[in-house]
Amino acid sequence: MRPIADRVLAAGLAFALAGPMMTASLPVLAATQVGVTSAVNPEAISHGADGATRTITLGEAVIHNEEISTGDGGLVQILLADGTTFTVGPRSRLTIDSYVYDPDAGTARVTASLSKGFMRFIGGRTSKTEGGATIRTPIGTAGIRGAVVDIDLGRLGANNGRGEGGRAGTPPHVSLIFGAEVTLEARGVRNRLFQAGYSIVVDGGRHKVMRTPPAFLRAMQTYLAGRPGARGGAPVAPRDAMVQASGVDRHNSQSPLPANVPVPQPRPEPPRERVAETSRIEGIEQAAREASGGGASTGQARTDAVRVLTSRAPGDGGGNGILGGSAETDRTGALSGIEGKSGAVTVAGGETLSLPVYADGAFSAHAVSGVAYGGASYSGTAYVGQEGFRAYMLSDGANPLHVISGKPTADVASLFSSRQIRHYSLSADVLAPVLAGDGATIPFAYGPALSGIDMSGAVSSDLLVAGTPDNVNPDILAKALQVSLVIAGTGASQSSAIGVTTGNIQRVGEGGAYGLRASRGGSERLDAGDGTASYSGAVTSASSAGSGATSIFGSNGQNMVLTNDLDDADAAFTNTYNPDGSLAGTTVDFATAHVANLVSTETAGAKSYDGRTLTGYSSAAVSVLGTTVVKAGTTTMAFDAANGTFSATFFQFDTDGNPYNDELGFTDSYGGAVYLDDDRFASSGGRNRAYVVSADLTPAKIFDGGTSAAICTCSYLKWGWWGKAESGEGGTSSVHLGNWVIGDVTDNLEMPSSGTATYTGHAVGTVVNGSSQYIATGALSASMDFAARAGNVSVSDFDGHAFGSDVSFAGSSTFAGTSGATSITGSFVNDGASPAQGVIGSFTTSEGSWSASGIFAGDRN
Amino acid sequence: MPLKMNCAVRRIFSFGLAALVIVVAGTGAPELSLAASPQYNHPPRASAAERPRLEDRRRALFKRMMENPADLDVAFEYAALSSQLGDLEGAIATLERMLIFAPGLPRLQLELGVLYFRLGAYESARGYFDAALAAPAVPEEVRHKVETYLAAIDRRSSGSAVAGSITVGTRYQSNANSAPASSLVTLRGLTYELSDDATRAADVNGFASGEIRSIFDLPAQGIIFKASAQAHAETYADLGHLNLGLIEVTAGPSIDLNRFGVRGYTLDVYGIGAGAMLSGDPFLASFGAGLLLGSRQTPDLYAGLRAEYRRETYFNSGSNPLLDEKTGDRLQLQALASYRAAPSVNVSLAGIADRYMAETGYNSYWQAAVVAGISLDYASPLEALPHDWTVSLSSRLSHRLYDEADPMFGSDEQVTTKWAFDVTQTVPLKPDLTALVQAGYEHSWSNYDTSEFGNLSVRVALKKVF
Repeated sequence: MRPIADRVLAAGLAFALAGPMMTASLPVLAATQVGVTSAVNPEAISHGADGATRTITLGEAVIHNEEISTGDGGLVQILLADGTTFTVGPRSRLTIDSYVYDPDAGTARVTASLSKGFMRFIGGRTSKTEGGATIRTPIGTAGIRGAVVDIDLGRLGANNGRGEGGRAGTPPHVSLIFGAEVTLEARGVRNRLFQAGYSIVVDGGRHKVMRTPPAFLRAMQTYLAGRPGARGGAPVAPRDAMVQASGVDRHNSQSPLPANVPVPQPRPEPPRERVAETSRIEGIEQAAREASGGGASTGQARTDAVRVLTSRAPGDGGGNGILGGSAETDRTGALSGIEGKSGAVTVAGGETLSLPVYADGAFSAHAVSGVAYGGASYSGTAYVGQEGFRAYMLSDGANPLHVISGKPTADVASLFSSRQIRHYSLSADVLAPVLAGDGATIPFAYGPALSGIDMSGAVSSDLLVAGTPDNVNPDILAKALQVSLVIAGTGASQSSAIGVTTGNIQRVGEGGAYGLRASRGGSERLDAGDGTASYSGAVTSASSAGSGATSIFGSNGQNMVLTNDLDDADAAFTNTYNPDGSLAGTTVDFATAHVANLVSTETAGAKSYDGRTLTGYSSAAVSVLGTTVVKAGTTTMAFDAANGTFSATFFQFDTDGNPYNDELGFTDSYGGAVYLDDDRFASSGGRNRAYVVSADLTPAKIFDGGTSAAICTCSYLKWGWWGKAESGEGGTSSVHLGNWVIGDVTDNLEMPSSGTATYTGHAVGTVVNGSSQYIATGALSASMDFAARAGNVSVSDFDGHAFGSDVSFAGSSTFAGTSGATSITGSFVNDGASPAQGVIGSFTTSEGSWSASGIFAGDRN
Repeated sequence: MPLKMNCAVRRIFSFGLAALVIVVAGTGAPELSLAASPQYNHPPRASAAERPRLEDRRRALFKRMMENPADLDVAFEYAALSSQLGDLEGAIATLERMLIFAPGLPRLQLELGVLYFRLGAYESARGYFDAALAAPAVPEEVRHKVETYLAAIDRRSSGSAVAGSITVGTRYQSNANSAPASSLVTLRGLTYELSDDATRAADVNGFASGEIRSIFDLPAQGIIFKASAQAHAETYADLGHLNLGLIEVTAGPSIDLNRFGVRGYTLDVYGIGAGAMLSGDPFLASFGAGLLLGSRQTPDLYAGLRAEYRRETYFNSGSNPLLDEKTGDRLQLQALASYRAAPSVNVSLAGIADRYMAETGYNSYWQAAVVAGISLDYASPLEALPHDWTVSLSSRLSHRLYDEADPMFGSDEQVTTKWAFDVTQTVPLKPDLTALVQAGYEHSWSNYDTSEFGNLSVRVALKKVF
């Protein structure tokens, strides 16, 4: 055994060269001296490689392969040059097999063998070196990395006195107190600890990993912390005051208690910030919605293709509500927005306007105002229907702005394969609305001219449309008509106007595009003392997509928008003042626009006139070159149900023996004649053709002092109105509100041969009274003696006049007679069951400057 | 085969975080190598300037300790320096030796307990603390400290730990409702005037926030269960429609990937549930899940990659009738890092990418954001408040692109850029009570008038941690 002083000196030299943090360049140290005993409780002995045994004391060098054993009270701490310590408990045996430390590289490797007992390993550089600390034990070879590790070969329990049945109370185990990793390999099986607080426990030869029981730790610390009365070999034991004064607590127990919970992972975006941001954005957006006119309803976003129609420029013949006719005034675009909110229309060219956006619904009208466009503010009505139908009918007081959208009817032909009559209501024009007394719209009328007229007695029909599936022209699917009539006042203060619009649902473009194409006819005499004006112009339905597209909307053809022909840059509705008045030769061009909505469908009435030509009588005050002459005559009307049309011709009674001069007017299918059923037929005229309206379409109460619209109780006969404005060689010949009456004229053979009958009914006609012309009605009474084939026809209360004449009907069912200035011609008509059930006819009469012509009808009493 | 897989996994993780680490290291101070030195297992409690001198001293002490292990003065000084410099193992080895010299000395047991506590070896710490209290004559201050630590360990008892905080304060904002500067906004090219309640309004709110984080050890090595909850409520003096209440809970296991041989990485898998009320009405319900791959290769550097999915359901209310249009799915990716550049300096950086897919295209968006922050601890200027004060700066920049134009606004998709900047001063009044003063400004630029605003705010709060 070497003297202790030598060993200490050698060890001291070695450690001086191999300080733990040494940075000087030194050769790799592999000295036989590997460490020093830094604490020793007695009963610790060393067995050298040479077999020598010695008692270990504090501060001795520890060399390779030196076996250190402890007895019952023994305890040894070995401090290696790199800072690694082994603290070996009682009844234990440890050998440092090899140790290499390279201060330059900062690496150290130690291999030790614990063959008995228990120990704590606290790593220095060894445990920071890959494969730096290896401890061989009977339970396996432990590899330690960056750790504080306890190893117990099962003796702790024995020492602790808690063993049972001769078996250790703590089974053999390796515990990771702190650090990166411990492995334990035995017989080819490798267990691994990578989390502090876990142990590899050897139980009956099996290794298992488990959370370290506190008892393991307590026992280990109890035995490694020395024992009372022992001082680890130190000459002087530390005392409380020394520890207190040492400053070891300054950066340890005196420091604030570390939180020691896992550092929270940074959350760079706290949830509350995002939620608060969303709530604020929503608040502002909602305010914006409300500011832009949207309500608080919950609507869906929608985008609809729209057609934006604006006023044609006056320089292009526009004004008075005339729409389109140019790229600038007829545009397409899209309306996007949220239902219930305000949306935006963007049209070609980038111009925008804001409109409320509606959800689909039953047809309804919504007031719209404050729509800014082109520097003006527009207001009006938005009509909302199903399947995206929208019609914003707006004006700024002078100019219209219409925005139309809707889903075109996919199969128009199928829709009109039915002959049923479809009733479409029409909305009033936004710029110049004209309404009848019952609120019905009088469409296609020039509002400013009618503004002073009492419309309380006016009547206006729905737009009536009936399919004509058997039409000889396959491009025509249906016939349509709309008529209105006002006769306001009596005598010289009377104003009267009649509007007749008839046409077709027909092909308007390639690929099955359909729409309404109709002609506007009619006439007016708004001042009985002034002249008449005749109506003309084309009425068409507007598509939402421009020309050539179907302009009927909805799968059931629910809606249309009717206005002037948008494909014709010159199109307008025209009122032409005839030569009989102060405005002779002038015209007014204008247009209106109306939203048509299907309100009902009915089965058409009887079409018993189909294929027949009915005859009757007509009357008119014919103006030529400012001279008006009352005339009476006859009429013939022929009906064609398959094509939904009819023709009519109006004759005056022959005055010159030349039948060629007797025709006053006529109409046919080129005049747009529409035959819906026996009660309802009309033709707008045009192309020198006359307008014709059956009175059932215009049930104005003109009889009995404005209390009745019925000429008599005689549905078996038909009467109505006609008029014309015909340019000929002799100048314009015009008729305003002439009359006609037709019936099933009784064949002479059917005439009763005996008995008498009286007939009552009414007469209606035109009075020319000095410079005034007006419509008048009166009461009709007739008495007939069939045996004598003679009778009397009298009209009373006719503009204050009563007149009549005896008549005779010797060789026919037609009776005629003249009494002074009164001439009466008429016929008996059947009611379908009885012959001569009624009388129809026409008359002329005069008294001084007062003259009149008209027709009459009476039913047998 | 398993070995190969482990290597592959390691490579992937290393690659995934490498960029982050580089970015953060690039912003770091020169002490990176020292601070991150693997020889320490805990951050040093010494300044960078002091450390070389202390290291020299410790080296000398070690040499003397080897020469004379019985020199108590040397041993204690060596232990003290080791503790200060973060070599807790060195300190433990030395003090355990001192304990062999003086078995049962409570003050030594206290220091050893604290060292083990700092290492996170709570049961070892408890053993020393219990032993200290069992001694016949325990100095009062030792007993007090031991009991404090034992209480802290108890909070981790049964393998669980709970920590949290409550913050109560008030906040002034110059534009509390984030309203645009002008009350006139352009919608579809037309100008509208917003109602008074949507024009910028200053307001003061009172708020309370609570946060609780807990972990529960699961029996298996390397798996813990984490649960956290945060709640926030704020109520405004005038703008009652902004009164907000929010709670969010996340929970799920956290797996130490060392299990697969990938050291220093954890993978958290968690579910998310959240709900919010606005002005007394249900506002938001959110459910989702997330993944967080975290790396703490050194005690000073944390880096993480997070992926989250959330289904966010917004509820209509009388005053917000179209909120449900914002309902959608959120996918979020975060790359984040925090780095202790010096004992008193912490920097953090995060990049966030959001994809939000709402049921309406004009509420769907892509968003990219960058968040950067730095905090500095410094000695209290007031003797009465001895704990270090902290000043921190943080800034956030985000850019959001919406999928479709909002028809209310026009035909252009919304594009919004937002920047926020905060300065926060924290003043610890007690170890568990801190006063906070924060001033901030945020500004939003957008092609939609309603998202164009600026807002200045000042927040004063007290934060209690437990």
